[in-house]
Amino acid sequence: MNDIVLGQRSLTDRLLRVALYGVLIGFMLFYLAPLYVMVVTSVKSLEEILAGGLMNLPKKLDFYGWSEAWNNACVGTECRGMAPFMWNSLIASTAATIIPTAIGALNGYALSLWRFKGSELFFGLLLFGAFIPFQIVLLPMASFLGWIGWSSSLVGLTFTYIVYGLPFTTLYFRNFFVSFPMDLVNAAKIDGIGYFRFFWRVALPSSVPIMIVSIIWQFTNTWNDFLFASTMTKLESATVMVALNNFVEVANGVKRYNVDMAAAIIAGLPTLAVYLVAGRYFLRGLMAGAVKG
Amino acid sequence: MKFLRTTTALIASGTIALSAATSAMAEGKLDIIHWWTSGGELAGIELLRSNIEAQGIEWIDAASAGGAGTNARTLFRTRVQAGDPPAVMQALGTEVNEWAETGILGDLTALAEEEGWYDLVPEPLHPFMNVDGSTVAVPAVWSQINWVWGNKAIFDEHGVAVPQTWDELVAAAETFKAAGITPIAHGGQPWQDTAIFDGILVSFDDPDFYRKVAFEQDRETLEGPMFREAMERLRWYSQQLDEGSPGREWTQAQAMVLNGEAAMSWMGDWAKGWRVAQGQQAGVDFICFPTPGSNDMFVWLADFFFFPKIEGEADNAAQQAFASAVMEQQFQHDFSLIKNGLPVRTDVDNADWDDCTRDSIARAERANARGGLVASLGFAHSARSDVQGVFRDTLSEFVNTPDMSVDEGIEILIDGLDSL
Amino acid sequence: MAISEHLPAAAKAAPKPRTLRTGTTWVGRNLPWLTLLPTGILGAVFIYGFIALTIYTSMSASKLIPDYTFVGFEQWVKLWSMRRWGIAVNNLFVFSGLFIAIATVIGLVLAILLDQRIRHEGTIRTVILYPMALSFIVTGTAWKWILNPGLGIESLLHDWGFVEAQFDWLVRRDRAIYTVVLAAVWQSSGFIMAIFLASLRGIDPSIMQSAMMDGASTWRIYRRIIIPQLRPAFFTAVVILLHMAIKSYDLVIALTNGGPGTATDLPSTFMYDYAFDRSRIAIGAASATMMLFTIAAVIVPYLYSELRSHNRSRTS
Repeated sequence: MNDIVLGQRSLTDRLLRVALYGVLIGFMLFYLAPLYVMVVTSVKSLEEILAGGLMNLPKKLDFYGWSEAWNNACVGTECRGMAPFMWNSLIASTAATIIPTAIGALNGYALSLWRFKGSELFFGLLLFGAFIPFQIVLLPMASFLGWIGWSSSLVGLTFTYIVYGLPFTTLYFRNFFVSFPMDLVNAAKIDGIGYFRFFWRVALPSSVPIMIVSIIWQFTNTWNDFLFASTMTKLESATVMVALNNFVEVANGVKRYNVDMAAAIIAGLPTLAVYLVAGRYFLRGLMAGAVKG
Repeated sequence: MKFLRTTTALIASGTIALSAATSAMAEGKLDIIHWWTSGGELAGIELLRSNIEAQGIEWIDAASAGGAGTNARTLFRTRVQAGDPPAVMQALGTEVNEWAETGILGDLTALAEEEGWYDLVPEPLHPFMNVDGSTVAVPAVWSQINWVWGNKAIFDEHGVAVPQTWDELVAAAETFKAAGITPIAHGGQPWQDTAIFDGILVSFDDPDFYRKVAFEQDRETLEGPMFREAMERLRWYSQQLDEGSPGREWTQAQAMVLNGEAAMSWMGDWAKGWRVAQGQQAGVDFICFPTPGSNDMFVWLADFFFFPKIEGEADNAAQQAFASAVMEQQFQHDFSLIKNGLPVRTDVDNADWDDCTRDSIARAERANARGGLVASLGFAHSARSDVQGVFRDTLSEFVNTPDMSVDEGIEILIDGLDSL
Repeated sequence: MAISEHLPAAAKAAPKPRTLRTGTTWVGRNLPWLTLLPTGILGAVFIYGFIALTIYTSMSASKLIPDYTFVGFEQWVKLWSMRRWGIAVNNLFVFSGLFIAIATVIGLVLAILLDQRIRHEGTIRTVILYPMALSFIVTGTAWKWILNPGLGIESLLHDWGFVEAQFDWLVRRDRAIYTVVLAAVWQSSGFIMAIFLASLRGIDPSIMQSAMMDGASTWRIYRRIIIPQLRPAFFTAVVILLHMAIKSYDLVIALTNGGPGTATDLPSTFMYDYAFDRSRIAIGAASATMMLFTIAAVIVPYLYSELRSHNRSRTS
């Protein structure tokens, strides 16, 4: 491979190499710019922001925006800051991560190592559910949640996340177990190890990487969801994305950009942290979502 | 209409019917969806809340700000669909009628009779309270839409008098432009694009024209010269704005006038409520005047509350208590002061009102005498929401498309109405 | 990739039952599909049942609340006669066309650049991909500000002395959709880069080496040999991007809320507006059904071919 890499030999090659890094740095700036603007703006005073200088570093650090966003930001008539909504999101996302991942693990195990007649069809039908535009289920889901008494509640929203997360988690585990060494399964069969024992003792422990993928995927997606959350919550049960949108959209008078930006960063921090810590798994989840058996 | 002519007499004869029905401590809870989250509106709803809570009723606030109720409506519809409607919902004009027809609303007829609502409430509001003989909604406040709010210092500094005619408005705008000031601050959201068109429609001072457009969507009138001129005026209006207007919240547009970035803005009287909440004073910090040409016209909208059928006796009693509290005389007095609209009772003492509100009341009386007291098209009072929707989409597209001709705009509008 | 290739020959030779018996009792024998039963029921109700219900709603008289009187295709005819729906569909074409093209090109370029034994490749990849981890409700606050003519790039350029500079796309009816494209590309191109990069790394290096020996230029090697080999990755990228484009919702809500006017309406925002704000449930359902059909037309053949090729490789 060495040879075809733009080489370190001639001057042209060296110039090319510099240009290459130049282009990459340019792209990095493009990707980083919005985050940079958010961070910088969140620690400026409002006067400094209105005086201009989008990209300038703050002359003086001012954490007014952060404390306002966390403690006092108003969503509707409630001025309790972002904290309660973060809590709502955390509850919904945690439940909607653990449950579908557990079920998905069992489903994937059954679909790959214990195939039966029709299991591929089952998988295909379920997989389609991962790609539907959720608008198609929005209206019936809202009615259903009301029917069982879960409308506009965190429970209802979490249930929604669980149901529509299952196709993804099943997909992950199924595709993972599919490449499980078949001789191991056969050996187990000969030893007479049962279905659940094999799952518990052998399959599950080996699936830790894909479990992380599934957890990250579910957490990130439910945390970032806006469509379901904005339809299925009210003020007390609003997730942080709904609260943030409400908060940023509706300013009572002069817009306080520093507070807006701080609130946005707070809302984005959990998923950003997950990404920075486990980016590799995050990417794997995305790639698996692009199917690829 | 009896309207304020009876006011003095009623006040002289002593306060009546102070909702004795609800004197007992009620229980139960109310969850209420509304979109009053700014300035005077917020202060107004807080007042109502404290009155309700004083009765021992739990108030669960489901405020959803933004877009003149767009978000709140979404929330309401979802909850109705889910079979879990809130106890109280805020509504504008024909929304009450549309929901009443679905049969999900509770009945307030007994309470209305007991408290004599129909003798107290100005007549134009009755059709929205009473659907097929049953009282389904209570009005909270009504508002004049054809207002313009000006920054007094800017008007004074440039020697601009309050424009009385459209031509004077154009001249004033030219003066401001020349001085480098944005003539009009506007929030470019579809509902606001439509709201200001109400003001344009009455700027011709012709009640009959307004009726033909807003109530009947008379094709001949829509194709006629006056409507053409109305669209020309809307085009002109769209040229007086700063480039940042699309998507802006109405409060931000008001803030631009307050800060001196813009000379004036068009908005209903709730904009005064916002100003007062910012510590501004009528006649000192800001001036108010009707959209030029509409001094004897009054386009109104009214905010109503309606009450979906819900389970639970205590909660139903709480709904009745809420309706009663909204209609209460003292509350109407205080609320109209804080929120800055007109009270929906004719027997409210007007001593505390500022010049703008007095002016508004006088205008309502003048307009009423000549058939110029008209319900808003932009807020779906004069027509149902699907008709209003066509106006909203078309006008908003027209405002935001500088090269769309007036003819094209009219054609799109008529096509849209035809396809309903 | 066939799993059997990696197995020892003995395992290959061993009798290989497709289905393993789990036990002697009925439950024991049927455990696998019993495991799947709960998910199957949920899927049948909440995916397929609800899809059917929404399609039926689109042919009902529903307005403010569901009304299941059958009216045939009346609502569909209405939908397609609506100017606003026309705008939304047209926007979807413009948006998805540009979004797919630009994100694919940027993704490919970045992947090729990153494949040149770059130092700090991991860091660069992390930076390029992070927008995917954040909701656009979050990053939209920054974008809205950056694109705001009074405050963002335009004023920045003015500060730098380009007094005449104008960048007011966000608020221009005929340009706003391009800002949505820009933001969408920013968010998703990193992912496309990852798809291409994975695919590039899978190419057999010996092919390139022999081409090098023949004295072909780097450019030529990429154009003639490598890029053609990326065909499956292109296919995946386009399908994924199209799927993203049709579903795009919070992107538009956060950036333009469909405005100025109706200029950046997409079917997704149209659906929400009609189903919830405007009391036209049947119209909303019809537009949601249109979205589903559009996605299905792309996804179903894709899934079919993916699953089939996968099975082929397993059994071979």
